[in-house]
Amino acid sequence: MYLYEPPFDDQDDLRITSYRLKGESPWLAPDRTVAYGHVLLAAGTLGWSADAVVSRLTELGYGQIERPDGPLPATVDRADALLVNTEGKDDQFRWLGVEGRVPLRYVLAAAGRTNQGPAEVARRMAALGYEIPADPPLPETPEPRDIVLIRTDRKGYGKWLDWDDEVPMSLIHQAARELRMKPHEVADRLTELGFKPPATPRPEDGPSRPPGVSPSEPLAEDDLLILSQELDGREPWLHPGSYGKVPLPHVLRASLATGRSPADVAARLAELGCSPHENAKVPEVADPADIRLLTAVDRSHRDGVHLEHVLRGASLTGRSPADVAARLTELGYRLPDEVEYPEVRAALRG
Amino acid sequence: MSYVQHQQNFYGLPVVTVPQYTPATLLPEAGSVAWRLATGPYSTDEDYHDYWKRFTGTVELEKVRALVFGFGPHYMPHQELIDMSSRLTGLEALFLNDLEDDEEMISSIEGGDLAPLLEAFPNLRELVVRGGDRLDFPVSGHAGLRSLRIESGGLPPEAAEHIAAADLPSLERLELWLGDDWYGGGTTVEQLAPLLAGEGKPALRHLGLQNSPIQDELAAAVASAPVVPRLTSLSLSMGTLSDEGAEALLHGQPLVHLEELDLSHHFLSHDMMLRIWTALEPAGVRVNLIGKQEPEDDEEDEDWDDEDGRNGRYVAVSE
Repeated sequence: MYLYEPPFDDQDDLRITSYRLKGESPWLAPDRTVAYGHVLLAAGTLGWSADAVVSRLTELGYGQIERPDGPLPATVDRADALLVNTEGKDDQFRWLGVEGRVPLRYVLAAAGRTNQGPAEVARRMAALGYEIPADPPLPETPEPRDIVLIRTDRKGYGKWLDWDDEVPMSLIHQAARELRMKPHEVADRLTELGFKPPATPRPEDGPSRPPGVSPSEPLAEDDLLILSQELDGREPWLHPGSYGKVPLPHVLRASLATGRSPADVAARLAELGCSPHENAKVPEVADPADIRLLTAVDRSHRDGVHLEHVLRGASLTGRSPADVAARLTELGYRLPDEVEYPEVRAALRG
Repeated sequence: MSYVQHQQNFYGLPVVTVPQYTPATLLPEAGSVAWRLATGPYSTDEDYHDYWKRFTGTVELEKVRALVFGFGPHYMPHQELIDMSSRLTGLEALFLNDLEDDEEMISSIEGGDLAPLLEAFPNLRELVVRGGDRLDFPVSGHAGLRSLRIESGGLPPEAAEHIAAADLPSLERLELWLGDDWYGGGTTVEQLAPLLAGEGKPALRHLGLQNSPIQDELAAAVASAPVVPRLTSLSLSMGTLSDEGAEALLHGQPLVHLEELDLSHHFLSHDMMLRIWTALEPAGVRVNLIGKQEPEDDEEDEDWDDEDGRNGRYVAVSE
């Protein structure tokens, strides 16, 4: 805890040296750098010029005062000073430094807080001496959701797009989900903010094309069907390049939906950039019982199928563990547990 | 798999998170979803007081059926919700503290005293609370509550005792994650005696005594508990169940009337898994044995001693 007590009693002096401009503890430490934001807030609160605040603080023994290059503003509106408080509050302060250009997120956060357009906030910050890129121009229209729009990780420590960053497609979809917007609406606003988002389908474009499939690759109706996760020929699609990751039940369901053999489906998926795991043994015929079993067991070919999974599969399908284990082995799954699987069947209720 | 995850559905309704800074005109009809209220930890997140004010000021609260409180609004005192009770007249389901581990560890999430909340919402049918820190529950109970789940890494034993003794005449489902002594748990079988005896909860059909370091003792108690014959499903999952507890179940009262027995996250041997399965599944009891655990070899830890009787077995959710 800092135990400094100011050796003067002039009320204005006490105010400009106090953290909250109230003339009371906590005090600014004379041996530490005074943030430029504090200078601005003091000027805005007391109706002084920023130069006057700097001069008086210097006279009072504050030797290190942050300031931008160039002249300081002659008058400061207190509300403008609060634009550079990254805490976003008027009684707790974490001031934006003057070094380098202002990260875009602080402009958008301040605009959202004050219900102003980003362009207006950028102009005001620039007038205070902060470095704001002239290009790209920011939109005049207020949109408080901007700050959520440019957040790149929804959890963790918080990251935001900055001025020149590339926009990943995943961000557009994440933001659209979170803000209940259409992906193209997200892309449009990002464009207004100066970004170059990837091409985002608009309603008038018609059905989308699965990603990862070459534009020159002709796609039949069946192809769209087997590439769609819900086998409905629409988004969400299987992930492009997902070699070895397409679940076997998807191949079997696609076979039943298209009338093509499972092997034919798997071969076509491979041509389109997706395939089941190399250990998967694709059966000759798609049997709904296999689909039920694999859905119940819910393991990939990469993982071993243990006793617990065999028993669960047997429970949910009414088959015996021995039968389940035998069928899973036929379908290429690895069962490493050395146990004797019972022949007795589970009784299904209802 | 983490047991502590954000809800996707609640009270039979899809969970929709109220987006920050978003006008109410873009939101669905008030009664069609379970509303999740969550902002975030950053200064750029919408202030949760403003967010709550915007929600309560623009959504037709009388039509709201289910609320889920996530990060941000979970800091609000229960009183702020109680203050809205005259408008939240249709509220039937409430989930407090829908947080995941990376937002706040479950052991430090405060549950609080639930008595004023239950009193303010007599029409409540389902209540879920994640986090047991400082949690308490009124012995006087609640006339209409049908489903109660307390998710905790360490449920205060007094709170568990109060729930066990509470008068809950409509309660059909009760799930208690009892948790570890090191994180505030420590509920004993004796403290659950009224519950096991079937007192005060005549409508109970599902009982979950889960996530306990004394899962074997609980299994032994359940094996002769008067409440069991009236249940249709029973969960002893997420705890330290070993062959000892499973043996007690096999030698106790018949369980073949159950539709489901959930023993997932357990320390059973293969032989015991097969014995349990073959004893109950052919009779129509769906037995969940997913999540076989291996005891940790604590002997490598030089500070290790086994006075706590854990034998390297740990509950699924603690810290």
